[in-house]
Amino acid sequence: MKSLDKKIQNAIKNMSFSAGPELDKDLWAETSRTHNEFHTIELTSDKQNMWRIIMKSKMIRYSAAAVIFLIILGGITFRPFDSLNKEQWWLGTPAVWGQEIIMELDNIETLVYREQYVFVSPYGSTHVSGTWRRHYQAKDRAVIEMYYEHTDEDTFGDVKPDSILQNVTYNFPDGNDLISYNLSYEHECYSIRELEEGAYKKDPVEDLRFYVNLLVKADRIMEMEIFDGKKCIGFEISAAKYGDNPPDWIDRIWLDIQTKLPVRIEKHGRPITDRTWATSTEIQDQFIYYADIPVDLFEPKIPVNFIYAESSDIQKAKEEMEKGQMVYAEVPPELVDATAQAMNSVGNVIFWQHIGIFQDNELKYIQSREQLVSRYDWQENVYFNEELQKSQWFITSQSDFGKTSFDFNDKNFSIAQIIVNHNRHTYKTTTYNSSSHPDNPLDRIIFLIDWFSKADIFIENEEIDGRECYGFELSAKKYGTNPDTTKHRLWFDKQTNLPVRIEDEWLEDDGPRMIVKDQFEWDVELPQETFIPDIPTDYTPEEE
Amino acid sequence: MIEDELLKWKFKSGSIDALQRIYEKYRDYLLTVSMAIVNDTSLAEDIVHDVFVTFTQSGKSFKLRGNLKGYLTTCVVNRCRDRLRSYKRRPLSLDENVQLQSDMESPDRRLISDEQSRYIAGAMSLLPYDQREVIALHINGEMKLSEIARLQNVSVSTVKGRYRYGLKKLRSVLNGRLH
Repeated sequence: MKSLDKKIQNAIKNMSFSAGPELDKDLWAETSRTHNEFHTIELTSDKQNMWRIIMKSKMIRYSAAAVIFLIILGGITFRPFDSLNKEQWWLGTPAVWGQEIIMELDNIETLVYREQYVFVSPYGSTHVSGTWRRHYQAKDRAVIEMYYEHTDEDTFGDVKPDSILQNVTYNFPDGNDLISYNLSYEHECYSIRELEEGAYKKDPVEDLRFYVNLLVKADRIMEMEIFDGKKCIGFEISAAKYGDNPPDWIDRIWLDIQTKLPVRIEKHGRPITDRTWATSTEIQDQFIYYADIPVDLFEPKIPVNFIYAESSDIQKAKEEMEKGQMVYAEVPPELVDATAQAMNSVGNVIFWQHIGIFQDNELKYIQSREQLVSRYDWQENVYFNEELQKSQWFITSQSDFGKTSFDFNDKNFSIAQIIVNHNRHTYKTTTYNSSSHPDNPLDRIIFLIDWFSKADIFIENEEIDGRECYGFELSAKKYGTNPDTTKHRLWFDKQTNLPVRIEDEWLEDDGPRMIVKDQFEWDVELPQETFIPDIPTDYTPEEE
Repeated sequence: MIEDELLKWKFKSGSIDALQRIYEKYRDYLLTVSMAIVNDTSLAEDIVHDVFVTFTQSGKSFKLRGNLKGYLTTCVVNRCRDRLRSYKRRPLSLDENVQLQSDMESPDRRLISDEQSRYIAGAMSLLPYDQREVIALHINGEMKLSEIARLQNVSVSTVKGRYRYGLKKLRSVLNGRLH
């Protein structure tokens, strides 16, 4: 009897029903659909609490510790769900895999990475800073090399062999103080500073750890990208989530899907001193973990020909020699703010741009362009002797017109330029990508307005086109390597604080030239068809 | 067990990975328990479907101190009870089960099993519901009789009796028919 009972029990125990492919598909489809309805991909901050909650349980804490311990012993990457979507660990709980990364980072004693900036205008143009830094970080000291290279969007991300070492900073402790050596290879000088009680003993990966811990608050998961030859998954986080930061400060961290370690960190939307509209994006990449940095790299090596001086003093002296003394007018700060505020709120604009030459001390326009400009698209009509020669449209496409004003990672970014030549009855289309493209005409205007506070001359009162205006004159030598012979003049309506006239004057071999922008109509309604290229039906494509 | 604890944390925080793992880990087991109790393929499918959908919906509010397998088993049992009560469906007899077997052997069969499993399920379907439930929970679900007593809201001795009588009936049905 007992043996039959045993047989029955075993038969029931071994009873097995399994879902066939069709049933499995249906069941999982319904289950996952329900999941998607109830959860968004958004990673809520609730998850951050999860680790704390679960760790309250002693048994679970020990269990988790046992798992982690086993993983360390086994020397394998912790993937609790190896049989499932193992390539997509990032869809799991960040508190769990984030902890793995933290554990990995804890083993790192030195860190090497590159840091570079991209300047981003609200109208879409980007400029990659020519200087970039290589950081070598250890627990209590760091060396930062600053290089210069000619960069544009095409070269970003490449280490160019012609990079010039400009500066090296050595930071190391002396008791509780921090000693900082700054060597300028550009100016062949060095300086030493001492920061009392400034010695640091921080983990070189502290910042990385901070970002990994933030991932539980990520707003979205980015599409996969390749950085430094590694397939990466990115997370986007509003900086407002970790401090009193504005919502348009956005951070992105990209993790290697193989090692899970950070490959790239981007900090978008940061303000730039003296630049009202442009923002900067800081990028850290080319991370080298477990770098074998020779100890003597951290020891300052001062070339024998270097003099003791601040590099900024030498640079200023050199600039004065090359460019002459800089002149700064007294500009009312409230007007600087007023122009910035006025420009911040404008929408579409129509204006004219004339290219003129001086003949017998009189300015004569040789070409005029009507500009119809919106934030992303613009149209330009080119006239010669009041006859329409050419019309061109610039149409922007990008994945995301929100959040960051321009995402230089955006592979879908493009500007299409459609030129219709009314003389030849032809048309031509050119598409530019994010690496190199024409700039929105407002970019140039806001660039100049940003220099208002550093004007050479402040114009308190002048009537332009029947309007009472104030304005300023700026020598182009204030920025870049421009000569003193290039001047900009801008006038603003006292009522609206918006530009009324802008002049750029420069000297050519055969005499002065001038570009004048005037007849501004700000915040004008532009019909939708303004930015739809109008190609007459009898026009033919232009031959290459 | 450790994996289940991790799965619970991940599931609660919205991980579809965790849900998929739970689904894959317990899908067939729950189908088996369900079949042991209702012996009706489409009803068993419906029950497991309902259990996963409800479980998924519980999401953030999901609170479970006990083990995941026991929790899901209980969900299936409760659902079986509700379904059988509301649909007033009668488990199939052994003879009727012959038809069921032929359905399941069709090329596009949704629920796959061996002949003996189907036969055992058919035999269990001849037991009164309470006895079937106790046998399924104790043998398939590996639940203690005291746990089943709590679930069925009866005394342990009642559960023991249901188990004993259930086995006795199965002996008479299956005698000489088990390999």
